[in-house]
Amino acid sequence: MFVGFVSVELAANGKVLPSLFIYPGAVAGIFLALHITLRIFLPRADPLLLPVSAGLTFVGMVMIYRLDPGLAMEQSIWIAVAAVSFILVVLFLRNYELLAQYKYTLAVAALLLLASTMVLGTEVNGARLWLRIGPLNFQPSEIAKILLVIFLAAFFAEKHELLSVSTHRVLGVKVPELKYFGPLLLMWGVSVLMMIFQKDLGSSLLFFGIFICMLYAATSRKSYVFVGLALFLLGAYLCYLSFGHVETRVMTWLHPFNPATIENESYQITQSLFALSSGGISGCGLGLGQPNSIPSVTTDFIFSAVGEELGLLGAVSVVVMYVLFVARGVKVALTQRDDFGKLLAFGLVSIIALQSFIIMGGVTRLIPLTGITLPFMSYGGSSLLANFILLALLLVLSDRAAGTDAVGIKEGSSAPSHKYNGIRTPLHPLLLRSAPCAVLREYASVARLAGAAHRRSQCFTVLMRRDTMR
Amino acid sequence: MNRSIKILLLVFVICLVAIVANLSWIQIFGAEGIEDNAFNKRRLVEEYAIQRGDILSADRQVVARSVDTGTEYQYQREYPLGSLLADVTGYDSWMYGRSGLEKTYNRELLGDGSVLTLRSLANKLLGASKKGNSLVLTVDARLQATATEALAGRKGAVVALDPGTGAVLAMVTAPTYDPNVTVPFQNDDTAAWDALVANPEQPLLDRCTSGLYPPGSSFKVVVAAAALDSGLVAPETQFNCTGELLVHGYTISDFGGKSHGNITFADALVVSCNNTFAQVGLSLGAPSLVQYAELFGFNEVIPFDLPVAESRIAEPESMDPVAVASSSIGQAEVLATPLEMALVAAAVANGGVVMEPYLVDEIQDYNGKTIERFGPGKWQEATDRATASTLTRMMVEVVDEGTGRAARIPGVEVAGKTGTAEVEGAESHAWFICFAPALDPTVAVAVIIENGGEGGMTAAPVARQVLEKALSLD
Repeated sequence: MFVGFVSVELAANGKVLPSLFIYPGAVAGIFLALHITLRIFLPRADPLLLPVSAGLTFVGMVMIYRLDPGLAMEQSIWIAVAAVSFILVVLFLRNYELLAQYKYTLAVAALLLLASTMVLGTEVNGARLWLRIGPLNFQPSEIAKILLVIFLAAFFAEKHELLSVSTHRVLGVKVPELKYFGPLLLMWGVSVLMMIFQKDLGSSLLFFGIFICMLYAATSRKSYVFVGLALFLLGAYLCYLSFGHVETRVMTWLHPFNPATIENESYQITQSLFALSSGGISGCGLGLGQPNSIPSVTTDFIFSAVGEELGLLGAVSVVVMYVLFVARGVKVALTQRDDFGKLLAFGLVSIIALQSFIIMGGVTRLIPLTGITLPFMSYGGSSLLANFILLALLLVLSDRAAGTDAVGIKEGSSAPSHKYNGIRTPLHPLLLRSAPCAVLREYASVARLAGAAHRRSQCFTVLMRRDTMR
Repeated sequence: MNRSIKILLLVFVICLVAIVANLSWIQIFGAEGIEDNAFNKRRLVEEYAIQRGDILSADRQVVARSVDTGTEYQYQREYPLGSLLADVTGYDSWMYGRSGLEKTYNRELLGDGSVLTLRSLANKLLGASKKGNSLVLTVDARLQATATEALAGRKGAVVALDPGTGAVLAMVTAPTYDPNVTVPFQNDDTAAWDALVANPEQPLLDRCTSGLYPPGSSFKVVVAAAALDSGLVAPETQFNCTGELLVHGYTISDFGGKSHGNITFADALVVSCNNTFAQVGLSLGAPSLVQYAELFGFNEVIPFDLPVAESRIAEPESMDPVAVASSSIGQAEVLATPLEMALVAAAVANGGVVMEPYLVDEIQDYNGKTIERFGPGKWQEATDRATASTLTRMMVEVVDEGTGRAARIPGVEVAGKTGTAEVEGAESHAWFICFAPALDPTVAVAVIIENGGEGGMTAAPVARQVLEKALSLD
């Protein structure tokens, strides 16, 4: 991250002031504090999740600083706030099972949060998903999604056997009784309502996706997935027919370069594609591209800015970090002893997986674009807060599972967990020793090249490790 | 439960891998099509981040320069001389694109010219070439101003060449426009440009290179060159002008319907006798007439720094005697640009050799050091030297005592030829082509005034002012 900041500053002003190191220093300090908290309170927590999250946060921080130095300060304050909530979760929610007892309260809270924007929300970019509290804009759906996952985990943990019972056969496929499709229909209704009243396609897609994933994880019934997908497509199609903004999204996805819309409706997506294509394989260099031509580049479109300035290599490193996060998170889920923990961990991971896929796929035109933040990287307080709480919960879960591992109750996939643990021990002292060398190497190369082409994926890996001191 | 979670992990990973695949497609393979999209302004922003080189007139006045606007398109053009050289430089605008030399020499002005000299390479390596290369024109802003004033707001064009080199000394078209209106960095007002586009007088049309007019009697210079060069006639050859010549039921009449009686070929040019030149054209025959016209540049694209319309004469096979006769007096299907007629005058002045016209004298780097110089280039040989000097003597007579008397300059021998091209339903176009001094020409000029009436009355005085100024500058 230091290298990133130095590069941005060199590209922008051609010189480096000592004050520049305040942001990266502060954020690195925050992560060091989080790391120490983990060492003390959750010594057996997953060793990779925090560094990967830190890596993503750092890349996001560098990009935000490059795009708008003013926002970088706000972002670092938000990181600090999010870190505090992380510590609070680690301190007070180590007994996460308690959450299951309040599942309906949480569900109601989630729905209230979602409904609040419909009543009190302010509209930003055509979507009504913000609550204004004093000087701050707050996006309740970010918190609601975690509450929803907790509720669903508790609900399915209790009911999954019931939901899995198949009594009917339709077209040779075992299908549960019709009444068990109730929750599915309810969730579908909530998603469609979100799509209609909040015009928030991204969150709607995310909520429904999380629900389907958790339902399938809990029941292993493909019929739910098929019916769910069918319902979703039906809902999306109905919205496509009846709502202009949904139709626009689809048209701009299919024909982004249509001259009739390129200056208006498809401006964002085409600017994103222009940015990505100008990046090429190695990118045009931090501070040397024109990512500011993309609207909302610091939030939803931050991935396009990475693609432009750090190129395919930088963008792929980001994707790889998400893959790592998801893989580690799923491992946490697999090693849980009880169903609630399993579903909770998995649900939290699906938030990250689906959300990063929806927005990265959206800005690269793999799927229709729906506005949603990129976890850990996008600018935004509520998003950071939610992601750090999510991370803290996952770490609490991983610590518990590792604890049970130690006692000797193993389940499912002990093989992968063993493999990962194997890496951990030799990596630890080795990286500690190599960190100062890496710092020196990086500075030497930056000084030599004075600003242009050399900040690549390997920087991130090195930085990620160095800054977290693992 | 673990099994379904693992399946979902696989789904997640496949989704994220699909993003990587799609990204690779966009960033490696699909980049070309996306980057070339007309709405991709990244390239524009990059281009306008470069300070383009200046454009300087031959007398080193700044015609175009780039100024830092502090806007998204950082460096934008400013044309200090306004409309004076608009049709030479063209404009460079992120909004309306480029034209003229700004377009032709875009790469050079941006600083990545095709000629990579040691100096430009060194500049590039040192990172010093922050500013593009400058163009030094052959066009003299002072002569340009004189020509513009001489036209006095009338619709028309003036082209002045150095006959020995083909260097364009002045190129004026009227009405014209102020290229500064294409650079809307001061205000977002597009009304001025829209008015230019909508103007029926077509101020954006460069009449010098793209205006096609019947050359009228000025084309007799080409016919005379053909007749003399092929040995068909000599200046003394006698003709009989009866005032009206009947060709297959079509009458070629002379100006004012008067007859010149017995007349020599030389005198026929002096008085611009249509009857005689129609006879000469018929004796020459269509193939020979067209062949000589093509040697002077008709039916060819003149090699030039700006886009040029092709001056035309009909194909010999398609010409009947009426067409041959009327083509010989510059009517019928003969159409010429002012640049082409200036080349005709310059070719006679230059011993029958047509030089390639050019506008850019040299390219300089940001330090003012010359990195490329454009010399004269021979294009075509229209006549031999003897024919050219015979014709020159005849053209001197035209100015001394014929239709071109309005172009006489005391103490300087001027060779010229008038033209009064008939336009159906409107006043004739007035032409004058000339060069001076006759024996050692340094400047050749073509003037057209649209619907200006008689060439000797309206075009010749304009040409005289341009000649005088050009000779005074030498």
